[in-house]
Amino acid sequence: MSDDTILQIYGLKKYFPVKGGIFGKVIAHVKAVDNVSLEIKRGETLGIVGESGCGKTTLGRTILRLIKADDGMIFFDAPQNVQERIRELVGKKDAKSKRELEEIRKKYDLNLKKEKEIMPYRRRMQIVFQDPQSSLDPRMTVKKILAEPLLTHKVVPPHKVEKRIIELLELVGLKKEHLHRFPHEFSGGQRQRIGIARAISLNPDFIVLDEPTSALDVSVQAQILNLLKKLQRELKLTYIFITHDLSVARHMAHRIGVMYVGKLVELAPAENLFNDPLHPYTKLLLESIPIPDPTKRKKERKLFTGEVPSAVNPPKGCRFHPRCEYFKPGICDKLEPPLIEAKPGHYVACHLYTKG
Amino acid sequence: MDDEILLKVEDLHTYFYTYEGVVKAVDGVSFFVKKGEIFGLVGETGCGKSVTALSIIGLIDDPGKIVSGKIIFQGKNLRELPEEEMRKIRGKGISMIFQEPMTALNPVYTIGDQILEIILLHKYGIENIKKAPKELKNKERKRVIEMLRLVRMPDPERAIDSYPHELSGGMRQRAMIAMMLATEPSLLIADEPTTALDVTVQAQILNILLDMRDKLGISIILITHDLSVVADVCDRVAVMYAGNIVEMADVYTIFKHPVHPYTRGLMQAIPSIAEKKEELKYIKGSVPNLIYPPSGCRFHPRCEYAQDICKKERPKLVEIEPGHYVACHFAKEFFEKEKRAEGESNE
Repeated sequence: MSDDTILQIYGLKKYFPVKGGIFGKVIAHVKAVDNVSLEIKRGETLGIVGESGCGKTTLGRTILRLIKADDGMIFFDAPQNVQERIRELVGKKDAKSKRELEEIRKKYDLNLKKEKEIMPYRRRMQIVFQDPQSSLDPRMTVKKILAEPLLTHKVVPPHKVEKRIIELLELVGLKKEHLHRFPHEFSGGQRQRIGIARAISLNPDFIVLDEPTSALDVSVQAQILNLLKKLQRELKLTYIFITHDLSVARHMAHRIGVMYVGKLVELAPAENLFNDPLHPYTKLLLESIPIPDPTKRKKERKLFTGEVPSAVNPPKGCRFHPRCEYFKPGICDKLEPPLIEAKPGHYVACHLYTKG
Repeated sequence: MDDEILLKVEDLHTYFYTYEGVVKAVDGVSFFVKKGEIFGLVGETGCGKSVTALSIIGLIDDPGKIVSGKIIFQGKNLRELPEEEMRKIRGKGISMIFQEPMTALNPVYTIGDQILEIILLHKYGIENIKKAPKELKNKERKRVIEMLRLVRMPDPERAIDSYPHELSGGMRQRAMIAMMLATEPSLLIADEPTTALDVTVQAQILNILLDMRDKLGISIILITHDLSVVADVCDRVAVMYAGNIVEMADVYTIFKHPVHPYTRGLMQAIPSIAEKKEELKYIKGSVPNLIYPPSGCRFHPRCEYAQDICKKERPKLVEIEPGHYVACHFAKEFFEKEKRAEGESNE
């Protein structure tokens, strides 16, 4: 991990329209990602955790522009002096700064680029999906699956494609013999290896791993996690690791962001998040996870209540307030808490930590 | 001690006769469940844990068949009972909840009606259920609300008239549990009850299961792939692999001294939130095909300690210390090594 930033995201928003009535009018919006800002360093693994429907998958896909964000900025590997300038300009309200930021955005913001201009970035930003069963074409052999991106992006001359594919297979722990087989001939773990081989085939810098091991058994999960760590070391990759499993996030990530109903509620180095969680939701999550050691059973079981609210009409103010034990009427249900740096490098969005 | 045993499964074999061949999904499984305990059945996909459960409750359908074995529940061998008797056991004796409550609940009836139906069915029999008088229904309705309250359903008076699609995943699983407990069974089989749920909801459902055991004194067979869930709530555990039980012990023993190489491999493979490991240990290969299972010990192709005998002979489940059973040719050696290592670390 180095000190230079590879990805900057500011105020990212994605609202999905909900249609209703006979004319299919838009009656509401699912606020899947609501004003998320992040920075990721080169070579880092950023874990994004949260329960189903919290927007973690949508966040991953909007960053890659597989889904176009409604609002917000995405800067990928901008020159260092530009990155600095962006940090200074974001949040400034005067007309001059705004104009300058507009200029920079025109040049670097992925969210403003046309589909054609995105292509070179696609090569450098890749994704591995949760379910290798549905993300591999059942009618293509492994060779075809892996040749497609190589030919589309013309990264190797056609006569060298096969050599490159064999190299890729070996890199992810598969063999040359597997070249002419179809996805259904592989086990779940092997299929995920093919998915990973496809993602790294274009020598990307950055990969979004969207629950890559959730469909796998524990013994196979361990193999895949080890492989991902090895590839990161060898190919100097930057990961966003999306998962609902906090123990997997702890194992993989340098920093972890916790999402709740479209919002980033806490962001901290992994160790700090587990040893000193600040947000009441993070605390609840950590207390809910069973620990694989019966001698560490909690003597008093906490009475957990409530469930994740719908992102269509999320609660006003802090979205966690209906379930929060520190709920303060008049504040938590009125004002949305901003994400602030409560401790060095440890960000939290909760009124317990906002000053004044 | 024998009188506190509620269920005893002896040498159960359940096979599926498919076009491709005979799938030996459960192949010689023996275990027992004591009264008032939570018994965990763990293993990876396709190890036969769900088929074991379905065999117990008598829901194996074509092309599957229980080939041999005994299932003794409250002193009766369930395999010898006529279907009619068996139907009475299902519900009153043994109930089962499933992983995906949405597919187990009927979408066109309210959950109140569905729970009521079960109560009336068991009280008045299948013939009289249609003739059940209105007052009776109203009386039983109160019990349904009570049941829903017991499983901590939020706002039970409203939930009783809701359809399954109007409830969240956690609420549906609660409705399912309420329904299964309405007949006051002595054994509840929970097949991956929290796998489809989020962690915070999982914690709620596990709390309810513990509660039911404490308040109603029922026994629970908890089927799961998640060792952490086992560590959290179970009293005793059996680990299954490719249709066999490879290790069985009380939960503290098995987590402290796992003996079978598969159990040990599984435990080392889980990442933990308590400590960060640089590299996870893993079991090489993957789960075998059960049409052509490996000879001898079914784990031998993946086992790092495999010898010639493992390829030839199938190890029996033997008791290596009181209450701790292991099916491995080298169980004794591993166990003694483990004990010695512990002795040294204590000094």
